[in-house]
Amino acid sequence: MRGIIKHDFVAGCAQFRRMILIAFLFFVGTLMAENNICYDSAHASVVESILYIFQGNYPLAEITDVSQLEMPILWIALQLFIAYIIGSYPLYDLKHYGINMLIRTRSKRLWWLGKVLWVIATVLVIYLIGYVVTFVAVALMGGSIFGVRPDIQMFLKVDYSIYSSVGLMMFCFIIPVLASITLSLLQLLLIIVFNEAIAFGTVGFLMLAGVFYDSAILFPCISMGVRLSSYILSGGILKIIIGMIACSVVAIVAGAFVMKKKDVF
Amino acid sequence: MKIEIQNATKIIKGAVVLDDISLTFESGKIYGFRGKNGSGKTMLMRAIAGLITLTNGKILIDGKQLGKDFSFPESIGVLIENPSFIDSYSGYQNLKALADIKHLIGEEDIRNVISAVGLNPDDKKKYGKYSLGMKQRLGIAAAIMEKPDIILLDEPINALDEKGVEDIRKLLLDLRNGNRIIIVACHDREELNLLSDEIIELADGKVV
Repeated sequence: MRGIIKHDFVAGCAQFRRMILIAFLFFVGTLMAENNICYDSAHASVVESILYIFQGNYPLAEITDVSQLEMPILWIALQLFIAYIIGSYPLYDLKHYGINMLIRTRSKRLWWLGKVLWVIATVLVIYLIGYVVTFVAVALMGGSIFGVRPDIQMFLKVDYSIYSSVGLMMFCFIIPVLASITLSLLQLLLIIVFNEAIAFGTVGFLMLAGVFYDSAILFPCISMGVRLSSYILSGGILKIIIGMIACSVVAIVAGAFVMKKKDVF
Repeated sequence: MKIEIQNATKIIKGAVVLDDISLTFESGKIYGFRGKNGSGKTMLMRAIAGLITLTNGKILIDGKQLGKDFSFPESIGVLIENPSFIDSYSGYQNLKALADIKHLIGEEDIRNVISAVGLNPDDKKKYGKYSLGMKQRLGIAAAIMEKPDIILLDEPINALDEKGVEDIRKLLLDLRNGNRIIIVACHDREELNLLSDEIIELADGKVV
C-alpha cells in the first residue's frame, strides 16, 4: 500500500506542478479582484476573502427576474479546475504505470484505494493552497483573520456576522471541502465505470444545474454560502454532512466492486 | 511450474478477440507468439497476467484457477505494449520504486539488471528524457529484475539496436535455465526462431 500511495503522490501530483501554480494564481487573482470591488478603507479579513470565493448565487426559485441570476464564476472555476485534475490521472495510470503496480500488489482493490486516497489528498492540497495564499495575502495587506463585518452583506449577499465561529467554519472549510471531496469521489467512480469524458460531463452538469436549482441531489451547490446559510439556520447541516459522507462511502465501496471485475487494457 | 489455458475465449463489445484457445506452457522453455496485429497475442498475454477476465474457459497456474483462486499470478513480470514509468525519476529510481513494493531484491540486484539490459545504473538522466530504445530496455529490466516465475514480453526488441537485441536474447536464454516460463511476442521471425523453444502462431484470436 505504501508503494501505491508514494507512486500516486509522485506520478499523480508531479505532472500537475503547473496546475498547482494555476491554483495559486487563481486565488491571488481572486483576492485582488475582491479587494478592488468590495472595500474602500479596511482590507478584507481572511474569512471574508474565503466567503467571497464560495458565496455562490441564489437559485431561480428565489429570484423574481431571470436577469438577476448571477453566474458564480469563481465557484464554478474552482470546481471545474479540481475536476480537470481528478479526471486526467486515474485511467491513464491504470493503463500504463498502474500495470506495474497491479501485478506486484496482486490487487485491483489496492490500486483503487490508492486512487481514492490520491483524490482526497488532491482536493485537500488545492484548498490548502487557497487558504494559505489567502492568509498570507490578507496578512500582507493588513487585514484581520476572523473578522466579518455586517456591512459586507452587500457584497457577500449574506450577513455572515450573525454566525458563530463554528458556523463560519462550515461556510469556509468543512462544507466546501466535503462537497468537493464527495464530488471528486463520484467523478472517480464514473471514470472507472464509464470514462473521463462522461465523468467530467456529469460533474459539470451537477454544478451547472446547481447554479439554477436548489436540491439535495445537486449537492455541490450546497457549498455555496448563500445556499448553505438556510441549511445552517434551519439546523439541517448535520444531515447534509452525513449525506455527503454517505455518498462518499458508497462511491468508494462501489468502485472497489467495479474494479474487481474491470479489464485492464 | 505449469500454465494451462483451457478453451479460453474473450469477447469485447461483440468482437471475439480470443477464440477457444487451449495451450499448455511448462517451465524451462521460451515460447514465442507470432501473428499479425490484432491476432490476439497481447490479449492472451493480458489474460495470463490476470489483467483481463475470460468470457469463457479458464487459465490454471499449477492447478489453481486464475480469477477464482487468485486475481494475479504470484510471481510474474510483464512488458505489455509500451513501457511506462515516472518521467521525473531516473531509471534506477524507477526500478527501486517498483522493487520496494515486494522487497524481493536489493540495490545491487537492481544495478545488475540495469547493466544487463545495456543501461548505466549510475545514469542520473530522467526517464522522461530517455530514447525509445532506452525506455524499452528499462521496461525489460522491470519485467525481469525480480526473477519472476512467469515472464511475459510483448515485442521486447522494438526500438532496440543490433547490440541491444543480442543483449536481450542472451538475457532471456539465461533466464530460461531457471524454473520459469518465458513467453515472448515478436514480429521478427528470425529473432523468434533464435529465441524460442516453441513457436505458437495466432490468427484472429485462434491458435493456427
